[in-house]
Amino acid sequence: MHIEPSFRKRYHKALSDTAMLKAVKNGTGRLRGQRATAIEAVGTERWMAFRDRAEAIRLHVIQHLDQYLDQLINNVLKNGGHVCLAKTGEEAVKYISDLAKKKNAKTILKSKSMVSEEIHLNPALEKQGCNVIESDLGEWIIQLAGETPSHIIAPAMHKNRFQVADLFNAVSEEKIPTEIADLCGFARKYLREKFLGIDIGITGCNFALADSGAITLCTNEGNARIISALSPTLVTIMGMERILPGLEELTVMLSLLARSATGQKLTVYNTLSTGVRNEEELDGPQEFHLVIVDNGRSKQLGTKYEKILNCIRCGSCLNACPVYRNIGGHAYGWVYPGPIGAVLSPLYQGMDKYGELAYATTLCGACTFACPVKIPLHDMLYALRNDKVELEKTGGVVEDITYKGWSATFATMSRYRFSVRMARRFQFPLVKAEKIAYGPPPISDWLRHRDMPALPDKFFHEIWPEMDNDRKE
Amino acid sequence: MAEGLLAGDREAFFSTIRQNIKTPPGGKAPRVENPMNGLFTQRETTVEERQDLRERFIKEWTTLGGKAFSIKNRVELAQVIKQIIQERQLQKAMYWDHPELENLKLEEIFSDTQASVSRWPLEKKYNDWIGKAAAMEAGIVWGDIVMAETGTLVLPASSPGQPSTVCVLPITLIAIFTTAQLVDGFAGVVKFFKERYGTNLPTTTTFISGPSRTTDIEMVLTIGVHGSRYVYALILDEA
Amino acid sequence: MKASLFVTCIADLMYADVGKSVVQVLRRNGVELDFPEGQTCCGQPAFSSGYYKETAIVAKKMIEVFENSEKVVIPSGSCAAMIHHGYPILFENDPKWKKRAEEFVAKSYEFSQFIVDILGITDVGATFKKKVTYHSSCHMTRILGVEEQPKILLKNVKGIDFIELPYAFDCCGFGGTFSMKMADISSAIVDEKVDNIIATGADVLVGSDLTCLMNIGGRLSRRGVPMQVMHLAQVLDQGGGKNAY
Repeated sequence: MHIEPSFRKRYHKALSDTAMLKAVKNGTGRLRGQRATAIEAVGTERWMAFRDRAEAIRLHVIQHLDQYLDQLINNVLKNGGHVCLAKTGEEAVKYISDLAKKKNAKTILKSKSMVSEEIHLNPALEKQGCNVIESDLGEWIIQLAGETPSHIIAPAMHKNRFQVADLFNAVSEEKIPTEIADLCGFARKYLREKFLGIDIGITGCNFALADSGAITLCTNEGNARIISALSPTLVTIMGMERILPGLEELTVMLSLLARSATGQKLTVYNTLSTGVRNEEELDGPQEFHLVIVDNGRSKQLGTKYEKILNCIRCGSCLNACPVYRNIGGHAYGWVYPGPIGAVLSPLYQGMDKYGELAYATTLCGACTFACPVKIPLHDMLYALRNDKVELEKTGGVVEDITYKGWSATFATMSRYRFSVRMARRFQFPLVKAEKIAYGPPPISDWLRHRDMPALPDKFFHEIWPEMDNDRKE
Repeated sequence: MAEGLLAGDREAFFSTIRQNIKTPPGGKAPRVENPMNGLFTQRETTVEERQDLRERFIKEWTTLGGKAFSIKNRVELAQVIKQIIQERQLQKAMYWDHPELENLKLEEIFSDTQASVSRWPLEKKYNDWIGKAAAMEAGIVWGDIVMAETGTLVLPASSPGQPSTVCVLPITLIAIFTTAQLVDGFAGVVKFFKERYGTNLPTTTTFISGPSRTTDIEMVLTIGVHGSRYVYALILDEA
Repeated sequence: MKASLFVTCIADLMYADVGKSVVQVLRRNGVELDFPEGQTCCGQPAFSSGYYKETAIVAKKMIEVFENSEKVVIPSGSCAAMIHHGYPILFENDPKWKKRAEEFVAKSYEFSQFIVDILGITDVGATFKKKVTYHSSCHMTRILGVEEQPKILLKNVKGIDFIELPYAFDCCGFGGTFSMKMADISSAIVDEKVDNIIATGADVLVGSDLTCLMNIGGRLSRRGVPMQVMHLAQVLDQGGGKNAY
């Protein structure tokens, strides 16, 4: 899929895609409604206690990441699994590609992994002749469409049943009706055959438990469960921060994850797997590889953005975000959309590429309050804007002039009063019936959609002396 | 078991991390002691309380789209199994090699029905069992521990005879357990795991809450996309 | 009780009537109000654009202006939130100013918060016989944590027909410079808000943040929807007896 380099062009394209917007509004609306109902059932107070606990657990892990990673690696190795430590996405891709070559793998089945999207794994494997198939229904749909996910937990949220039917008909021998149940039925049948011929399975990782080396996978469809049961060689890709100390912490996270993501009490299939099957067992992988990816994460440790590593990828900040709800996921440009993407993209991929995203938000704070692990997302968006000004020495030419002028004017009452009187005197060409409907930049864009009140005959600071005198009399 | 191999430069990978997590100004966040405290129901239950848990489980399981049965004795068990065979038009089923299931003598129950039942393993070699397993229309498992509040079967593959394949591949899943297996929620599960396994977890443990589902097309809930579409819980009275 | 009014730049420059109503309502309810000279703006526009240094210059000025005030009343949720949440961030590494900022924070209140929590008044004696709905602005509820106070005051107005706004807590799409920089997205968001407001069938939209009201009101006006838009203070100023000054 062609991605426009400029955010402005991307979101304009989104704003004109009515079918997509309708689907996204429907999807986010349902998800946040279900989440609200789930929280109500838990009780707000207990929910807050859950969030506090989860935040504390995550923060502790992040600030002791070396210790937990060390423990995890040792346990995975002890359990007979192999571990690849990849500083960059390229290193991870190379390791997995080499493995596929070594195994002479033809059919590779994947369950959802945002990290694999991040490192562009599929194209690399396809280039060397592997048939890579996404098994999560939503992921498969967008794979067939040649697109990237538009939502962290509902990757094909932007598509409707008719679009899906077209995509399925392109790979199906018989014509498939557009009923959703039929579409799902076709996916089951088609992908089931693929599952049975699997050479290598690739999964993401919801949580890795340091004390046992177990990998937790959460899917509603059961695809990750099937892949880890049937793959002779299993590869799990994880962001290096996705660790928990042990089972007890996991129970807190699973309880939060499902409710935040979809409003379920628990995801249908939660699987804990320690990797390689033992000698007597017949299913499960004979070979297990855990690929631990840094790819920009370690840079965040010890910074004011460190808590971004708390994220458990539930997607609830997307549903809460008014901007996401009105432009969908693709406009954000990189893998992670919504508020989490607006913070992660510039942090992982660079301000030069994705700095604009920090401005793609109303700073309403809904994301922060939706976050189950209490990442102060909107504070981070402020901080990113500040970084742009401080580190790049500019927030844009117009802004630089505006705010330097603003602080010089607004810090001194006489200058403030003089300049606002000037503005009032010279606003007349724009004013019609006490309203302003057209104007020069930077308010021109504002005025395309909205009116603005004209400055009044008297400012409040001009009225105050009368009010004060009247009182004294 | 032979230890795995490590690829990549461990020192280089860790050096940035160690450098960056140097003590933050407020000190590092301490480990959360008792992370589950106050969040989950923690209690020992009596037989009577477990009767209530059965009701709770049935409510949750049914809401999720499953079917559940309270069963008093082996006669009722046979009736329910036969009903399911009818309902699903079952021909072939497989079941876990589990001592509790062994006691129920499932072959006997199946013997006067249209369906056949086989105990795992079906074959010893992957290429042989995979085809057979894929042809199975139902998998029968024993619910080692079951959470009532969330309607969740907890299925640790405690022995090679209890693979996850049985619980996830067939379109119909039948889980049998007694009220003695019921706990409120995660607190009971963690206690069970700590006592039985410590940190030495079984190769796989599967938590199943209802039938496989997806909302990936237009957010419309659809049941049975990859895993089980029909899930039955058969809850026996405890001895 | 003595208090100082921090009218905010938006009320000062664009909605002087709101300032007047704030004064009326507070005086009627026994507040001895002053208006310290030198006040301009809390600094939000520059802060949310990332210009912390420039913001700090103005913020220091505001701290000085209100240094001798006992309590400060601000008829804007987001400006009060800026002081409560933004000022401590601004002066994070400046212990001297951080302390002064914290003192300012400790005595600053949003208008409805001041009336309900400090004055302990839930009925200001106003009468307003109209159907109203209320938009809960983001920073006031989420950052300042003031959620119920304005609604308590509204519901106690005689003759009022209060209708809950669906999705009242959703952002109106203003977002400061966002509404200029990404005006098209902003307008899509405010349209959702406007649709929800129209659906209530109310005659009057009430809010506690003038910037939100300017945004929503501007869109209502452009769409030709004949709805009155009022700040909470203006409603509380209705039918409350003779002028208090």
